Amino acid sequence: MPVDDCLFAVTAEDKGAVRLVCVNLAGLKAGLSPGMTLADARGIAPDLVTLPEEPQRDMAFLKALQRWAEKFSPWTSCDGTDGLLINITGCAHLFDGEEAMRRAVLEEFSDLQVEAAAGIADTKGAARAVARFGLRPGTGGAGIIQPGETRAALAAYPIEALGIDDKTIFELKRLGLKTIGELYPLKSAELTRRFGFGLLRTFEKLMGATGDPVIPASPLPGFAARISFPDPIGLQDDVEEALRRLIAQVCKRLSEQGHGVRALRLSFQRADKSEGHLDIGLARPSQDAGQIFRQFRLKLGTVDAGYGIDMMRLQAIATEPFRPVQQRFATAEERSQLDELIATLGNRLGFDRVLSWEPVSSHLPHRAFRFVEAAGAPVTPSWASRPQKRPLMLVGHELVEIIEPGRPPQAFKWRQDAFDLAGASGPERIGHEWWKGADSGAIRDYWSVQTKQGMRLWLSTRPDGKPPSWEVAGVFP
Amino acid sequence: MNEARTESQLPELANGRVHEISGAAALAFGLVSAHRGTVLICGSPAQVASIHPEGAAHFIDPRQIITVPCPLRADALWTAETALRSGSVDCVMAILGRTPGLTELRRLQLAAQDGKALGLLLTEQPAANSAAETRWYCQPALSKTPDSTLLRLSLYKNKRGTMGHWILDVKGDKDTLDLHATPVREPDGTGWHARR
Repeated sequence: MPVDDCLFAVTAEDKGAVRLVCVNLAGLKAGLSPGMTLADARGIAPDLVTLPEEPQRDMAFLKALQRWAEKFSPWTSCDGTDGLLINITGCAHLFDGEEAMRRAVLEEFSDLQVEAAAGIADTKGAARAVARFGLRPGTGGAGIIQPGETRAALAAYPIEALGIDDKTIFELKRLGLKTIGELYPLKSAELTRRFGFGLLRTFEKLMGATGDPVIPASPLPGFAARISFPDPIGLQDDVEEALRRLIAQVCKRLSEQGHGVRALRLSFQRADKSEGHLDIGLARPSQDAGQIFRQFRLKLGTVDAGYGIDMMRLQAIATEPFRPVQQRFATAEERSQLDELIATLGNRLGFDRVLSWEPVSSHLPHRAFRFVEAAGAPVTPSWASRPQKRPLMLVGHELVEIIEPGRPPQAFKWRQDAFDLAGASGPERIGHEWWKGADSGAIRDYWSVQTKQGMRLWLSTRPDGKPPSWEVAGVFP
Repeated sequence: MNEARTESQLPELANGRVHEISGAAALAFGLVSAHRGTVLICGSPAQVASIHPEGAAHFIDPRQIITVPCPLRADALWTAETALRSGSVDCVMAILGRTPGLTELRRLQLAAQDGKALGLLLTEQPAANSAAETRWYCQPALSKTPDSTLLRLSLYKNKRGTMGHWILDVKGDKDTLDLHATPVREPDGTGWHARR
């Protein structure tokens, strides 16, 4: 069913309620408006059709439109989430003038089935105001502000057309300023004193007193390749061969641009139009086709070809500038082998499960390190050795059963084994991190204890505990 | 450079084979044996997370260690096999609750052979039979001086060589480990055989 024929809205969850984000023309006429909760909207229009919002797909569509709009002028950029800016300086005469160009743009949009409004003016802000607010009564409605007439033409526009944040607009309205024209007689110094420089700068940009160029989004180099088959394929050998060709294409483009890839997605379309995809990650940016292929091949067995695969597309999801660095003289080869192992493990277990340690500046033994992902981890600084010995294993704090008291206890039981004290060194007092507040932990005394049974334990106690309780904090080798 | 010196007839843990170590000081003995080159430690998350890098730094540079916590035993075995076969790490330490079965261990042996890497299984409950190249039982021993670490080692299975008991004295730091092993004739009642 075409969207234009029914009441249609896009919804999103906001502040605990489902609200309308965008409403079509029929909906607006029925009295719906963006920001309304879905429950209210259903009360007004019971036959409202809604879809949840998908901002990422909207953004991707807007980016595609922006690239499309380069047919009018090379200087295009996106404006917010629902606008396009085209700098047509020096281009309008190619389309028989501004009026004809505006009409042509709108016609092309309606061919694409996109509802659009367009405005042309001297400055970016003025053109935006015309496009977004030009249809309102009392603003002229021609869609074009002639050169030099910006100030006069914008006077009737509502204050929202400034394109400034909601708080300032609220404040301006509270002072009774409803149109842009009402700002003209006010002194800029007074406006600045009350609202800060932001309003003044926006106003100057709107009037063309300050430069406000259209900054074209730099085209991202796309690292993707696709292959379509005359007949659907289903044999693993065929899929592997196709994949090898795709990887070769992507890697060639990567090395031309000096990029390395960190994550790739292989999408395939089956003969029955269903889709599937495989994702892999790599430990370090790479342009190595063999390495990428080996990571994919581990997962190719899970692909369900169904009735056959029609089309395959390989896309680099994450790329980074690639600097072929030599890590160390002798071990560059080893390092790349290790990276491949990390990638293999990470692709099956998840990269958050392949870890290495990183030192943390803390005197608390259990906070002196943290786990970081081994993939792409920079070389950590060396582990400074402490004057005091630290246990090989931390066991949390396990209470011991005291058989013969002492400081530390002369005989105790831990994990069902009895231990007798042979020697002890300590105490080493470790305080809490005072900068984290008083309740971040207690002060503890630690003793490194040699037992007659051989075990070397790290016992801890609270200096203020009465009666003292002893805990095993760690085990020495 | 890293240098570990052993003065005595303590059998070397052969590269390209999988060895089994049990006992309270198994991790320490494993790190001492692995102390050259890169090490991958896989096993149950609780065990792997309890290792304190500052403590391990007495034997080995923690930067050489990659840890892979695996909640599933099958994942841990797969990780160990993959890492051994790749040959890109020098030593793989798998912390497993019990000895893997003969088939599983045979796979690990073949993988270690392919990758020419040292495989170490740290087990809490060693099984009666194991396909490991050597089996060790390792307990801390009472040391007289605080700066040395005494370990009591019992080698109770050795496919190519003799068995025996040693007291291993570990001195020094991660750069120069000084190992001194003294053969002990009579196990003094706390060894593996007494425990069974």
